[in-house]
Amino acid sequence: MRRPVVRISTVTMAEAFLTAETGVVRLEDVSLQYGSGPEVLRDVSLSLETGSFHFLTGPSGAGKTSLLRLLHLALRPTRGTVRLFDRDVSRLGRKHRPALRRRIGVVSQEFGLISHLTAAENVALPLRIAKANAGEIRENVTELLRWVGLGRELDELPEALSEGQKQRVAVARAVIARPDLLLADEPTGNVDENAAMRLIHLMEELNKVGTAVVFATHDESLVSRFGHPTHVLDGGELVRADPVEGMIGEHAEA
Amino acid sequence: MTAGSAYSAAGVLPLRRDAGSRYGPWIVAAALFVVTLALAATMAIRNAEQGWRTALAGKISVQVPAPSGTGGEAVAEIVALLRATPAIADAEPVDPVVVRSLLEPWLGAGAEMEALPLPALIDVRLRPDAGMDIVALEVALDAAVPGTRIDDHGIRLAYVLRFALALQVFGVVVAAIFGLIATMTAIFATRAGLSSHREEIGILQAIGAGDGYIARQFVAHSANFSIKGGIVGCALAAGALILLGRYAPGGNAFMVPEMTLSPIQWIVLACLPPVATVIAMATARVTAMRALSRVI
Repeated sequence: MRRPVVRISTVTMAEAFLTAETGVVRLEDVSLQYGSGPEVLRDVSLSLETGSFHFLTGPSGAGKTSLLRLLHLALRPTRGTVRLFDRDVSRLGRKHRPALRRRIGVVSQEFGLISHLTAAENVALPLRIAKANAGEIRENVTELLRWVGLGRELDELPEALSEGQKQRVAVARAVIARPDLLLADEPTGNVDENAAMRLIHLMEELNKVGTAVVFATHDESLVSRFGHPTHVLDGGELVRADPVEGMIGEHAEA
Repeated sequence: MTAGSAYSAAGVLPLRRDAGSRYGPWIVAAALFVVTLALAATMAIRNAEQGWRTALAGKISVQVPAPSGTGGEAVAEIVALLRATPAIADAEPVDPVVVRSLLEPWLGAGAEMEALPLPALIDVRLRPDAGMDIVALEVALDAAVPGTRIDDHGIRLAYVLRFALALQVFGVVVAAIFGLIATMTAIFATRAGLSSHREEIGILQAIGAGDGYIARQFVAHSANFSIKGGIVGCALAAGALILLGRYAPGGNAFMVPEMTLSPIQWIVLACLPPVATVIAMATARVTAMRALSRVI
């Protein structure tokens, strides 16, 4: 199956220079707390290479979502350094975030689809934001939705789609602009086992064309079926990391 | 929604479906209706004021009392005296027929005015910047023909001009208040949209939309209802002005000055909808950007 070759340039020359990095994500002693509450992440250090595939697992409340939100620039660390694409984003101003976010795709358990837009319109959003022309958008959206098996559902509103179909629309939207990093937060939580397996295979296909994937799930049995590096969070601490090729940093070396 | 619209630049946020959005165009229309009428009235009063200034500035009237005036010799003596005054450019007796016609509105067309002891009137035009001493002139005229009085239009004109200025200020204030109401509509519509579409805005931000992209959704929405409301409001006001114009007494009407608008002033009024739209767009952008900047 041929992957659509969408790539909309949303980066400046300086950012393009930075894309020559090998580390997509580098966390150094990162801690996070909401307000004056307890720390939900504690001294987390982690490095992920370009084009790698990682599982992030652990029980509910372990800090997986908080970690992904940090990587998606929705939160700032209380302590430590977060580097994305070789750039320190720990204290990044809000006006610089959109450009970086366009290099990151996000899939969540709630899908995050806009209810009054069709499947095609939802998938087209990142390209519209990147000011791609209408013809280019039409071509790539149609091709990508066919690729994820939704060629007949282009004009359907989310309410007319099954949970699995919604998830595939969300994935298509997350990858339409060929992100360098894909963050998936419990994406299999609302779909059956078959759909979950298909989703992971879909993400592996995306990974093969260079997108680094961080797949967060509490389902360790699902993780065990794939041979990707796995990071285990518990109580806000990174307690274990399976040393598999593609992972660097202190936990890999441990 | 068709597939054809999927890739167009149509609004991502369904702002037009918001309950508050239904009333936006009508509020703007009502506000622009009042703004247009207020500005039209202000401009018409200004035009009339300039007409009064032109007609009455530098002129005085001299009244020669009836017993002497009816004989004509006293009038001739006063006219000669006036013409000999350096600060006076011209002095012309007013035809008694004209004097009687000025009184006709009060006394009626059938009144026997020939029997009335009406004073003779002399129109006097002053030289510009001649520094006429009206009091000294009146003393001199009274000495020549006892009872002769000067009617200085400038004094009454000053009262009228002061009132005209007050009306213009009132018109501008009314226009400003209703312009503010139209602007507030854009602010409320934007704030309501930001609040009711928080979830969609969060999704857009998550996929890389900047504040400017999101603000443009509100700018486009404000532009849409402002231009519609503005055109309706201005069109209704123009219709009302044209209708009023038909009932206006015109230049020959007694006591009512002719108040018309020049073509340029009509163009100014026609520019109100686009101007209101630009203001609404700027307001929506500032409101949206400020609200979005408060989000981390």
